[in-house]
Amino acid sequence: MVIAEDFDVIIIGGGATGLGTARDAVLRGFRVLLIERFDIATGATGSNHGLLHSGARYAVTDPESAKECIGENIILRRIACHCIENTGGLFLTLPEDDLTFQKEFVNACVNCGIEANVLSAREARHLDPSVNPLLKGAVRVPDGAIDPFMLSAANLIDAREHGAQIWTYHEVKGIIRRQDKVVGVEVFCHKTRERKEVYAPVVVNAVGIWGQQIARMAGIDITMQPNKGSMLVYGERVNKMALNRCRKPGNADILVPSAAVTLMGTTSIDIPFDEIANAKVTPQEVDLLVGEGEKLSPALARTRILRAYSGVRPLAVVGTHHSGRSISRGIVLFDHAERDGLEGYITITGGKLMTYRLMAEWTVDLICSKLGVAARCTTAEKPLPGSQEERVSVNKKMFSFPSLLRRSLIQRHGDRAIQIFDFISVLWGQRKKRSADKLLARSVLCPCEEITSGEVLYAQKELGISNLMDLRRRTSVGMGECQGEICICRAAGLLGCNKEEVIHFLQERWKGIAPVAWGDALRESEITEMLYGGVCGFKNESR
Amino acid sequence: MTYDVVIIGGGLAGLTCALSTLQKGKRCAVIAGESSMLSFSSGSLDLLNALPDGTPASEPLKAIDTLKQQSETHPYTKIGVKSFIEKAAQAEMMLNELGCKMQGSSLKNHYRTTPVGLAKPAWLSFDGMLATETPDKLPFNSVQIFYPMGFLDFYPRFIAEEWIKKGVQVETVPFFMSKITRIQRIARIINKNNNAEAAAVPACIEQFDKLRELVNRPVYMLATMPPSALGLNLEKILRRKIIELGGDIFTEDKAVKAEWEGNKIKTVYSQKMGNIPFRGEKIVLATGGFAGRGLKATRTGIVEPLFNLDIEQDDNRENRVNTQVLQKQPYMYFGIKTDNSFRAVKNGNVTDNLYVAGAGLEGFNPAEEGCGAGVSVLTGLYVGEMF
Ligand SMILES: Cc1cc2nc3c(=O)[nH]c(=O)nc-3n(C[C@H](O)[C@H](O)[C@H](O)COP(=O)(O)OP(=O)(O)OC[C@H]3O[C@@H](n4cnc5c(N)ncnc54)[C@H](O)[C@@H]3O)c2cc1C
Ligand SMILES: Cc1cc2nc3c(=O)[nH]c(=O)nc-3n(C[C@H](O)[C@H](O)[C@H](O)COP(=O)(O)OP(=O)(O)OC[C@H]3O[C@@H](n4cnc5c(N)ncnc54)[C@H](O)[C@@H]3O)c2cc1C
Repeated sequence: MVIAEDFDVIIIGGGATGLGTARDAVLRGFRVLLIERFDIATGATGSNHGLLHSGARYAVTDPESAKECIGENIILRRIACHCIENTGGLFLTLPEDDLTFQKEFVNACVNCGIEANVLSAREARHLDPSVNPLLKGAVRVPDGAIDPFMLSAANLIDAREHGAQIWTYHEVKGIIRRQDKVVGVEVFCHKTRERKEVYAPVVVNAVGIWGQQIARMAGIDITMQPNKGSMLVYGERVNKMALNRCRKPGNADILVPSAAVTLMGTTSIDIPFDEIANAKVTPQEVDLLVGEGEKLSPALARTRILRAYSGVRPLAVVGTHHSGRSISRGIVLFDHAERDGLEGYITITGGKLMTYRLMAEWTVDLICSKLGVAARCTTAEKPLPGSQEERVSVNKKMFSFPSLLRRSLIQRHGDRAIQIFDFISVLWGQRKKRSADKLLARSVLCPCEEITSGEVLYAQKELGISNLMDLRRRTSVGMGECQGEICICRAAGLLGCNKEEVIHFLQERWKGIAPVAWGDALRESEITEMLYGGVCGFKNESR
Repeated sequence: MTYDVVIIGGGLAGLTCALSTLQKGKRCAVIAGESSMLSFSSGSLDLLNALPDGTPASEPLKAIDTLKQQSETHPYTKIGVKSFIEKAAQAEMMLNELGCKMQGSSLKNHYRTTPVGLAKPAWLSFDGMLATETPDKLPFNSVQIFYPMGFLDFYPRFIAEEWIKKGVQVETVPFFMSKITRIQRIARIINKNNNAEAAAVPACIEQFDKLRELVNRPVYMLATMPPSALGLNLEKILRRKIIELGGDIFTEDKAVKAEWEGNKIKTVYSQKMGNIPFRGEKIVLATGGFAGRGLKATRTGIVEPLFNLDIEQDDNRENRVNTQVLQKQPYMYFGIKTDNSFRAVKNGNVTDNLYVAGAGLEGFNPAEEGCGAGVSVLTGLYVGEMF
């Protein structure tokens, strides 16, 4: 067993919460280690709806969450602008909805500090022509779209550049206790298959829904309620604005435009713990989402569905076990010293993707008080990498790059596109005219998403990826129309991945397509099966 | 426009069907849609690699008797043992006459090398491709793989990995190639870098025959990922021959509807010809499977989009797919119902003059059974000969 160096803080979990906490802690001067069992953003962070809530959705039922949302909404537009689209949102009252709810809704929004403007049906149709023309009314709110992969990557990059260590593919297997104090963790590295012990005076449990298991490793009980939500990805941007139903929050009532696609969601089904790892999207869920989606925006009926996916909400059960369950949809921060008499251990869970920064702030405030350090949180002011420079000036610096490639590179990386551009330019500018690097640098590897081979090589070198799924999260290779049919094999060839990885990628891809395998989705699937199973001959390999 | 036979779909099935009807002196039109699945081809044609129950079939002609017992609706069962043997031989002859030199025969499958270096059984492979008798023996002890730098659809590293496992020494040699690079130059590069018994190049290099002449040691072609130069070449040759024999090919057109008279199709209309009808004694539907758009899946069921023919399928959507990728997929067996002479069934009735050939047929799984090209070619020939 290797004993690794010491840290001030160990954070378990590489979702938005853990990564945000790592960034905040390192900016306040702590020596930080973050441990994630797979890649970053593989939990709820990588499988949610991507709505940058204005808080309006919760204004009536949960004003406290609503206020947190609008506060963070304003901050994120500043510090993470490259991950956000300011689409604005509409709360539609459809023929079957009660228009009297609108008044209560608007009042509640105003009380939470959320701007809410009542529009006539005509005005709403004018703002977003895709809305159901039969609508009775609409309210405009500052909802938006947020890209969880870009947000996670930006936090990772900044934390790392400030000296935090991020260990991906490391799984926490045990919590090391000394009397009434947590002093470190036992980790298992999936790559080297080594076990290590690492020590720090504070350990943060930021593993979302898996928090119950991690707490139990330290002998503590917290209760989580896994709640599955499923979503559909439509292959076009159908609506301009985020569309909601103007009624109490329910199932299948949000449509979010995001980059080149539209996300329809979500359902809400409690599931047992042992189903989290392979939560499935059922045909009933698909039918519900399709039906309700077409009510919000009838054009969806003519739009291709690329795939379906589901995530599990990290809902914490608060209150005593006897007084019945009260499930919190808000942020839950436990100081286990106070709650259970165990020092050096903190749990942060619940909340939302878009409140990750606030959750991190509260957590690091608590760490500061535990370690007797007075350091102010700066994450509300300091923009993340990618959001630090104006678009115009980024554009200027990359002017010699073909415009389509430039646009898509900036869209995916914000101002960090410059670094990638520089990397590609070095390859491209090589003296030797006939070098493979030079030929590859600007060649388009993924035509759907305009991704160059140069960018893929950069991701391999600088963005800490270990396989094709990681690459997809960092660069969106394989996210487009064809879902990686050709480009994934190209990427595998380029990165030197092995065949098992290609098969693994195809399996993950199929998991998303199978629930919606009709129309072009099934057509592409037949081509994929014949191409990879037949032409390449992977069929027998996967048995 | 009046023909004896109007064929809808210009893939492997439609084109071979057109050839055989033309060779019998009939007048024939092909309404050919967009590019067919030949553009995805490996450069090899499969006849039968495994029986419906999964038993490997290394000698297709011998296996066909058992196949008949295992599946009633399989296209090969409908063709029958005798015709199967005949048509397979006829296909081999036909390709030869067209100048498509092929290795392999229906007596015994050979092994082709896939774009990732694996060995897979096949019926016919284009001349020059690396084909072996057994999966684990290569015809050389050392080889160099030459490939154009920056070409993304060929994976020399994967291939090298597999060949090294078989005890062969492999070197990969990238070279610079542009649109104007001549074959002589490529030959010179290969000849100059002579470090192994044999050389191999991706099949995207044109004028392979010339290259083979110019290179001082054995040189083999290796399949690439799509587009498949070899498949497209086969398509070109078939089309050329059809036109030579007086057939009409309506390229990049699309049949859009038909007029029926009872169970008989009177006329077919296409997108480009507008209201000028195609008339034919016999109509052949060779529009392919899902991939060719001859079949279409909707949320509620599988349909044949042109004539709304009866489809063999599973009504429960969940049962259409296997959630494990690259495993037996139920939807692959789905297809258009026909009687034993490949006449389509519509609303429970056998149609009078609408025949089906190729990938849209019910009852077989090209991925599991390795029989894709075979079904298309043999049903194409079989249906064409019937007229
Ligand atoms: C269907 C759905 C829709 C949603 N929609 C929205 C939305 O529109 N807007 C919004 O703001 N929020 C939304 N959310 C909420 C949001 O996704 C989550 O609140 C947020 O992503 C939680 O992040 P996290 O970092 O706390 O947890 P996670 O992202 O789940 O991260 C936990 C990480 O811990 C890792 N881990 C687990 N066990 C171990 C171990 N033993 N060792 C090491 N690592 C471990 C996991 O691999 C995982 O990466 C949605 C959630 C769901 C499920
Ligand atoms: C990706 C892939 C790779 C394959 N590789 C191999 C291989 O290497 N070896 C092998 O043996 N088999 C392979 N197969 C199996 C393949 O299905 C057959 O080999 C064969 O090519 C199918 O030919 P087809 O003519 O039946 O169908 P298709 O090739 O699909 O041709 C049907 C044609 O009809 C056209 N069409 C559709 N609707 C209309 C309309 N309304 N009007 C006019 N035209 C229309 C389509 O555009 C298409 O051109 C592969 C299949 C796929 C999907």
